[in-house]
Amino acid sequence: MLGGYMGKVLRIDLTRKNVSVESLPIEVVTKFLGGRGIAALIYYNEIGPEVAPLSPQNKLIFMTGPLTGTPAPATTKTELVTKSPETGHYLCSNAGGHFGPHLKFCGYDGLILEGRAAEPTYIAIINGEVQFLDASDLWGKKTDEVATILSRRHGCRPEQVVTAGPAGEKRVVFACLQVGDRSFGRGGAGAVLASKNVKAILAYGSGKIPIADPEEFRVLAAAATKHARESRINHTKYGTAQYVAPMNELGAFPTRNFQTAIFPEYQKISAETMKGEFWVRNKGCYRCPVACAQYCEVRAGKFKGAASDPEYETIGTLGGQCGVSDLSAIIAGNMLCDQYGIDTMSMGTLIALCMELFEKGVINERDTGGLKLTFGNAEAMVEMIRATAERRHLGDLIAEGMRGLAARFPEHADIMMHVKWLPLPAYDPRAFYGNALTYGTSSRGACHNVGGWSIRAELLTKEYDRFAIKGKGLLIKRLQDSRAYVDSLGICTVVRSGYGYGDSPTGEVLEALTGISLTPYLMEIGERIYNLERVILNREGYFRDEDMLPGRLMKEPLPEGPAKGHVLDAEKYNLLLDDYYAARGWDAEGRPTPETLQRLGLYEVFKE
Amino acid sequence: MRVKVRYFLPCSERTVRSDEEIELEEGSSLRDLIQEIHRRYGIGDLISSSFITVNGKGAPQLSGLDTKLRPGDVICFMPPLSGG
Repeated sequence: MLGGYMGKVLRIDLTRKNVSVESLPIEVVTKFLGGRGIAALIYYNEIGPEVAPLSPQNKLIFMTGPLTGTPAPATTKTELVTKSPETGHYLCSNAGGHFGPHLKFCGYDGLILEGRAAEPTYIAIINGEVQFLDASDLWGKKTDEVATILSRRHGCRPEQVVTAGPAGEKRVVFACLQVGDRSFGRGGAGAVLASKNVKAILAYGSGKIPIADPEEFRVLAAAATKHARESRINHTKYGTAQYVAPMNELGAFPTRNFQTAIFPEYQKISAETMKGEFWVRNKGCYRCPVACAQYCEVRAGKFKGAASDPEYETIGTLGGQCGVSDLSAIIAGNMLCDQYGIDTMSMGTLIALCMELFEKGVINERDTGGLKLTFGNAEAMVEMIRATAERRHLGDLIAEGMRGLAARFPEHADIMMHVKWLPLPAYDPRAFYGNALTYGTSSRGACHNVGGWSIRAELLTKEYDRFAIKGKGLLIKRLQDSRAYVDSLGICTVVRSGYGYGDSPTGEVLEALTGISLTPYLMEIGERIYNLERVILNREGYFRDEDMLPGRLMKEPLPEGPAKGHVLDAEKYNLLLDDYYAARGWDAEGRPTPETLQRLGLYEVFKE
Repeated sequence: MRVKVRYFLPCSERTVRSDEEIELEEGSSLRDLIQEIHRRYGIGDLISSSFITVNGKGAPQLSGLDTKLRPGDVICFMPPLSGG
C-alpha cells in the first residue's frame, strides 16, 4: 500500500456482532483520495435512496485521509458520511479530535458501522481488536460525562471517544456526535448512532503510519507547521469569533431569522468581548499549532458556571439570529448543545424561526411551556435548547428540524431558512451573491464549507465583485472542488495554505508521504468527488428545484447596510445557477452530463 | 477632507479604538491614509496583512493602494478572512 494509508477498512455489523476487514484498493485511493471521497463512494455503493436514515440499513462511514494522524500540522480530521435524519439525504461531516488518528494507529483507514445492536452498546477499538461492550450505564448520560468515563476506563483521552448525547437518544434529527469538545456537527449523525443502539465508539492504537520518504516529509511538515503558526496567528488569538464584527460591517451577519443582516449589538458578542470578559485558554485538535478554539467561562450572572468554546457560526446562530446580545447566554447555549449532543447551527436557526413565528402570533406561550420566545430573550433561547434535547412542548416539534416545522406550518415556508432542509449558516447571501450558490448547490444542503466559502474572493478579486453574477459559477465550482479534496486528505482547512492546498495545489507533502504523484490531480479528484455526490443527490430526488433558496432571500431585499436593497430574485438566481451548471458540465436540471461523468472517469466506478 | 476609519482585530488592539475620523488633503489616496495611520499608531505590519475595504468594496477591486478617497468614505481594516 502507499505511504499514508493503512490499506484496510473495518466493517462492524452490529446486528450480527460480526467484524470484518476489507482491503482499500489502490485504484480507489488514486481516484477518491480518502476521507470524504472514499466515504462518498461507499455511500454510493451501499446506501440506496430507499434506506431510511434511522433504520438499521443506514450506515455510518468514518473515513480518514492519508494525512490523518501523520506527524504534520493539524492532521486531525476524520470524515463521516451517512444518510441524514435531518435532511433525508446524503450527509458528509467532519470533526477534529484524536479519534481518526487513533483509528489509523489501530491499522484502519476507515470504519463502516452497520445494522443495529440488540442492547445498548459501545464499541472499543483497541490496537485493532473490536470489543462490543455494555453501554447500559452510559445511556442517558451527556457527552462530556461519557467521554470522561470511557477515557478513564480505557486509559485514553476524551478526544478519542466519539459519542452521542441524550439528544441523539431522543432522535433529535440534528443531534450531533461529539469527539471531546469537537463535533461531527451537522445533519444528525448523533441520532443515527443512537438509533443503532450505540452510545459511543473509541479508538486507541499504538501502530505506525507508513511514510514513503520520512526525512523529506519531516522537513515539509516542519515548514507547514511554521507557516500555519505564523499565518494563522489571528485564529490563535481570537478564533473564528473574529469574523463577527467584519461580517456585521459588511452587512452579511444574519439577524432575527434573516430579517436583516446588521445586528446593532454585535460588539457585545464579538471576539473583543469574548477575549476581554470570558476567555480562559485556547484548546487545540490533534497536532495543531494554531489551537483556534477559545475556551470561555462565565464567572457571574444568570449563566454563571457555564463554559464552552463557541465558534463564529454558533455566535451567529444562537446570537444574531436569535437577537441575543448576551455572550454568556451563547456560551451557556453552546455548552448545553455540546453536552446534549446537538448541532448549534441548526439549533440557533430553528429557534430564530420559532421566535419569528411567536412574534407573528403563529405560536404562543401555550406551545412554548410559558416561555416568551421573543427575539433577544437570552433565557428563552437557552431554555429552548433544553426543551428540544428533552423533547418538551415546542421542543418536541423543533426536534424534527425544518421538515417538521414545514409540515406543521406550510404557509410560512418562505421564512424557513434552509436549503435541502439543512438550516442556513451565519452569512447572508444577499450581501455576497457567490454565497447564494454556495448554499444552493452544497452537497449536504446549505453549508458554507462544503458549498465553497466565497466571501474572501468576492472582496479581493476584481472580477468577482460581491454583487456580480457572471463568473460566480466557476468561482464556486473551484472552491467546492478544492474543499472536497481537502476534506479527503485528513487535515483541517485552517492550515491548508501551509501545505500549498488551495485551488491551484502545490507542494510535495503528499508525494513524500505516499510515494506517488498526487498533488497535480487534487482538483480533478475534488471535482470527481463533487460530481459523485451530485449523482447521489440526483438519485435521491434533488435537482434544480431543490437548489433554490428560501423564499425570504428571493423576495425580501435587505433593509439596511452595504447590501441594502439587494435580493436574490428568481431571475438573478437562475442566472447564477445557469452559470454554475455550465461551469460544472451539468444540464439545466442540475444533472452531470454523460460527457462530464465520462471525463471524470465516474462511469467506470458506476459499472463496478 | 474627512474620511471615516474603522479598525477591526487585530488592528483595533493596537489603535485601542474601533473607529475615528481622519483629516486628509483633497485627492488623497488609500496609500496616504495608511501612511497617516501608521504615523499615528505604528501598525504598518498589521495593515499589510489586513483586508481593506472602501465603502464595502475590497481595495483590490478598486485601484488598490492608489484608490482615490472622497469625503465621507468609510475605510475598514479587517482581519484576513478565510471562512470556517
